[in-house]
Amino acid sequence: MNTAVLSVRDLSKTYVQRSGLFGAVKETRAVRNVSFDVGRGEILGLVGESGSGKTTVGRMAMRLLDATSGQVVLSGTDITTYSQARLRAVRRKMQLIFQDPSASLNPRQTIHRILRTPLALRGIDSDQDILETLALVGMSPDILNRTPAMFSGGQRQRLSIARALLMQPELLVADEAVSALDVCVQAQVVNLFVDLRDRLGLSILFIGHDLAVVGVVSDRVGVMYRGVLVEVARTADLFRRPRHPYTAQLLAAAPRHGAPLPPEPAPSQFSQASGGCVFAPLCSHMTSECLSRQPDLSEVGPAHQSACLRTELQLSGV
Amino acid sequence: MTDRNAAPLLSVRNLTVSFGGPDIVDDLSFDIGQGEIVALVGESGSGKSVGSLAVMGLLENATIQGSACLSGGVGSGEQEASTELIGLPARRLRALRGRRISMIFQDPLSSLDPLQTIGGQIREVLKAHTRLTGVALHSRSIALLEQVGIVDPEGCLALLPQRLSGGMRQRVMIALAIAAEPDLLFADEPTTALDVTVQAQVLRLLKGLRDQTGMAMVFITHNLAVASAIADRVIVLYAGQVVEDAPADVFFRRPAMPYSRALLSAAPRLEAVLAGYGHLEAPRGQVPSPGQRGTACRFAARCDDVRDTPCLASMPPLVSIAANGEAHHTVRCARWEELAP
Repeated sequence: MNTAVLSVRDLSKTYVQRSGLFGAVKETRAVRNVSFDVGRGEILGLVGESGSGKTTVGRMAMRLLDATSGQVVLSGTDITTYSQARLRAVRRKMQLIFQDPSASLNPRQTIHRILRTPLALRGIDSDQDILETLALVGMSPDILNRTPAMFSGGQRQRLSIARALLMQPELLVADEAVSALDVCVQAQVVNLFVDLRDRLGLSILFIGHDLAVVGVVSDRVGVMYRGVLVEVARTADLFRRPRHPYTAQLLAAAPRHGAPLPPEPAPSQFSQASGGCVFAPLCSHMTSECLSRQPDLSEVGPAHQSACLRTELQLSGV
Repeated sequence: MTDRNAAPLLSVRNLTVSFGGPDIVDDLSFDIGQGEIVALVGESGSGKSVGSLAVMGLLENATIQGSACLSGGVGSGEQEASTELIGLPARRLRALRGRRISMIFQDPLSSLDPLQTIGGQIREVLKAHTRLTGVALHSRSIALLEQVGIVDPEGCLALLPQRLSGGMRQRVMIALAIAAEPDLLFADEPTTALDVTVQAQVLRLLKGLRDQTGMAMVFITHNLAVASAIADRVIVLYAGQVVEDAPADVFFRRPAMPYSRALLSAAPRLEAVLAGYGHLEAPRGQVPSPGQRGTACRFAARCDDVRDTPCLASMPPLVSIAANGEAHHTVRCARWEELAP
């Protein structure tokens, strides 16, 4: 955990829209100054609702999308300005796992052919790695001649993980990788990610919307809201004692087994907050100072950062 | 809320559905009480959606056997006779839909007309079911939107569906579904596509509507935590069959079917995260497909408590395990008594 496999610094993505030729320019700040590290052998969860920018962050970290500003550092190398040609050489080290594995597995190819592709890129002829990797993801070697259509959603996700592993990556970016799976299969694949971290020392950026799922896999969790990373902490610390009101609201809204629905959160008295904290319009702890600026992410405890001015708040967790 | 001694609002018996091949839903029986919220829980392929669609008469090219009896409502002051929904002619089903039974789905956008304003769509529904016109029609539209918690109902009437957020669209769908004050609402994964804070709002709304109007609800979901937040009773489906049917508080405290226990322990929970588990208990393997269900217990191949006898000998029946005076509780497990904690 001493050296970061992935470091992003002040990463921002702004979309500019112009209405008409001479019309007003409208800026949408999809991601705002996001910084975090994923350590070696660490799973960092990134959780947020739709529109929070979590997927955009993942894509910028993979250099699949250019950042408006900021830096992406992979294992000590700044790849922010790498050309496509130079990127090709480092892409192997980071692999992306999507929500829908059937969209990323060619339906006309056999599993053998699909899994050979990454090996061919590495210049390896033998199938030994394929057999070992299939065992690692819990699939039997006699499936090699089948096509993706013959597998269930959970098995296809295992196959796309196997293909990613065959590139011998240092970092996996898993974007809602278990969200479409049924609960029993989801549990199996969640266990697989944890197992891969433990056995291969793999680093994983695990992006999702479900706090409980992200919490179960992750060593640390970052919470995003409207493009801003509002809190990062070790998972148990974040759940037990959230320091940002948005995190506390997310935890309270998550339905629990055998517990009644939480009451509606008290709305803020103010409705407008341009230039202020992104969460101010919905925050029941807002003060006039919150409307003046977006606070930076700052240290509020051991390995615990929050972007809230009101560090004195005692918020309830799980 | 629920009077178990009164006649059920909906009584489904031995419902079997196939699409020319093996049975997808197999011998499904359950009751929905007046004003009761029942969660139908299961993984994909369990038959929870197909079973519900069959009851609502929304399946095409399906062979449907069995019975789904909707007890008489109080229409225009008089008690109506009860109605058998299976095999009911389309014309009579249409007359029941909206007024007696109504439905909402996961994706409200595909159920709303993209080219018509929200106001136009509400008026259309109200005209079909009431005799309201003019000012009365308008004020009823406003009242409906207020009832589902839309802050600016007047402004909302003029909007097209695409202008609304996912949560607002689902609220509009709910307003349309309850416009004719149905006795029973089928809600098929209505909060699955919503963000967690919006999901909590919609769950609160649905539960509040039941408390206000006494409307019963069949809430179809794969998410046990959501079921726990809203349901009075939980029915678990596995491979086309009911495997457990229990009051929600009993179900979450001591589920009796090994599959129910497996589902509960496989679901990630906030509390477990605190305890520092990096691991979920998942049953091995997967749900058998309709052609491969066999004649024994369908969960046997994945069950940690399986025994050759009785589990593999024959299909266990759904038996009542409620003691005298306890609420209705049935389970499909031949070893439930030995396995009881």
